[in-house]
Amino acid sequence: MTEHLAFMRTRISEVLTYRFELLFQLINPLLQLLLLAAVWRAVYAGKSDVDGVSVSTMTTYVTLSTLHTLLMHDQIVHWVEQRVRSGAVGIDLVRPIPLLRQQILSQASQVAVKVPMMAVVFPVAVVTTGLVAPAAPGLYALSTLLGWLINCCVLLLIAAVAFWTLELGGMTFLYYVVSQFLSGALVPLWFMPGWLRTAVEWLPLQATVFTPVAIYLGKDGWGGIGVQAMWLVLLGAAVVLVWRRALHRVVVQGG
Amino acid sequence: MPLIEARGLVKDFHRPRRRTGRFAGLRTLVSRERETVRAVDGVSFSIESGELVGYLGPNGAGKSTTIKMLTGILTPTAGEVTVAGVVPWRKRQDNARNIGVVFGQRSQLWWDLPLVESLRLVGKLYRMPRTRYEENLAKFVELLDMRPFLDTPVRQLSLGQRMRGDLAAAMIYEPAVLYLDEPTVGLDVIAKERIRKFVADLSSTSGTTVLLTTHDMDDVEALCERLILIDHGKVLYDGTPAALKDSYAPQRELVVQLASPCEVTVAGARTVESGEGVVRLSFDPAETPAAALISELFGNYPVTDVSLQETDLEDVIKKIYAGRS
Repeated sequence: MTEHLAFMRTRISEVLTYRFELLFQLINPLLQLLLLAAVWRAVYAGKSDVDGVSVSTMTTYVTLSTLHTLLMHDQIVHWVEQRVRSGAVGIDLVRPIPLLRQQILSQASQVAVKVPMMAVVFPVAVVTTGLVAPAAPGLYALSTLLGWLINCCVLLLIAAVAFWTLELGGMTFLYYVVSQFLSGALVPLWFMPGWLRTAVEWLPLQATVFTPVAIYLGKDGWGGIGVQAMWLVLLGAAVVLVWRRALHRVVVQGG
Repeated sequence: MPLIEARGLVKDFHRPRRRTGRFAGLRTLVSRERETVRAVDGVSFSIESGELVGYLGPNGAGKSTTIKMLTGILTPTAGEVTVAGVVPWRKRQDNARNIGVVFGQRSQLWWDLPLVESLRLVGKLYRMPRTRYEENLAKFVELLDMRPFLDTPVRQLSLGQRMRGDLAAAMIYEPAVLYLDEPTVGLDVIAKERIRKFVADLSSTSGTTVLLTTHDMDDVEALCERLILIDHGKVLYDGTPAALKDSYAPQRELVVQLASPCEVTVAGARTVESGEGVVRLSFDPAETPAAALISELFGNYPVTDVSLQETDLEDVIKKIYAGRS
């Protein structure tokens, strides 16, 4: 246990080395928050609800989905790609903590950096955008945890591709664009046309942002948790399998 | 039982076959055709606890690939390997606890953090008791003279400082085996000397088993009592440096200074070079003892000085590399 905590501590101090970079990471959610809030206010323009969704529900959705997106945005893909490309993964492989566990600990360390960032974004969001009381706080917390874990799995699967291709630039760019949409970070699923909503519901990404926020708003419940649990089991198994294969075929670049 | 044992170790790498000619790049991209390169081809050796072995070979001979299989980074294509009773690639973490590794070309230190932070993390990762860690840290700071840069971020260290930091990180938890993959590459004479002294001390006082790859024959002369020479993935030689010199370069050289220039002819020795009162003679010490040769020279010629040249390992290795296919 101590070695895991020590590993996380080191990762955190490493992330904190570049404070200027962290400042920029704060601008991103704040901008998204204010722009989305402006758009939805224009859509509502005087109406108290659209398709049965009240304006307070919608502003709460914007506030929470922004915070969740901030939580999900993770450096792990970039990090793994860099280590594999440079051959530094060889060093990671001779550490006494298994490589996959090192990545999970790295992801957990990033949460520790995200919490103070959220402490800045949250009050701004509540004041400028709005927040209603949670429908089911306990269930929401559980769903947030599951959503974070599912996101970790998805990112670890993408990162593992680096062991085969060495290069993930295009793939991660595509992922970040698509995931903003498919996770419900930009538009809630209930405003999507039927066919799109069905498609999105069959994909895991909605379980990372949309499900916890919907549970907070009382629009989903144990059903959503069940779907999240299913995705976590499936993706978790996929991560273990893919990483096992990756380690077996690892080629260390550059002598 | 030997501490490190490799039997018939083979490693193949696959890479896409490069096309040439029209649209070569595109055709390489869509082709599934691959070629196989055998980097290590049936390497066997065993190393006993406490040995300090030099693992030598030209660039691309398969040295680093072997080290990567011994450390558990790479999975062998065929053959067997055990290190302290553990199959490295099957039980990477168990193996990691038994070994220390220094790669001259990369670092295990955390780039953005002060050196001491990396060492502290290593201490924790290997579950060292606090007092033991403090003792070893103090010892290594002293031995490797790390005090001036202990709190400097690793990215600001010079290569020599970084290498000392890496050695400390590899050894602070007292592993039984130390792998050094070109630890002196790119270092100045003083830095090389310091690292050699550290490794020699470690080997003699702690009984650490060391496997060293290097291109610097001075490293080998200073440290290794045994050499394993490989090329094209196969073992060419396994034995002492002295025996290697004897079998590949049995001739020794004697440089003779003369009071006045004259022709020198002695039985059992061949003149290699002569001029300006200096003559270089080559002889086989097995047939002509050096003492006999020297006394004959003093008896017959106006000799002012003689010096017997040591066979240079560098020349021997050069000869072997040049003689390969």
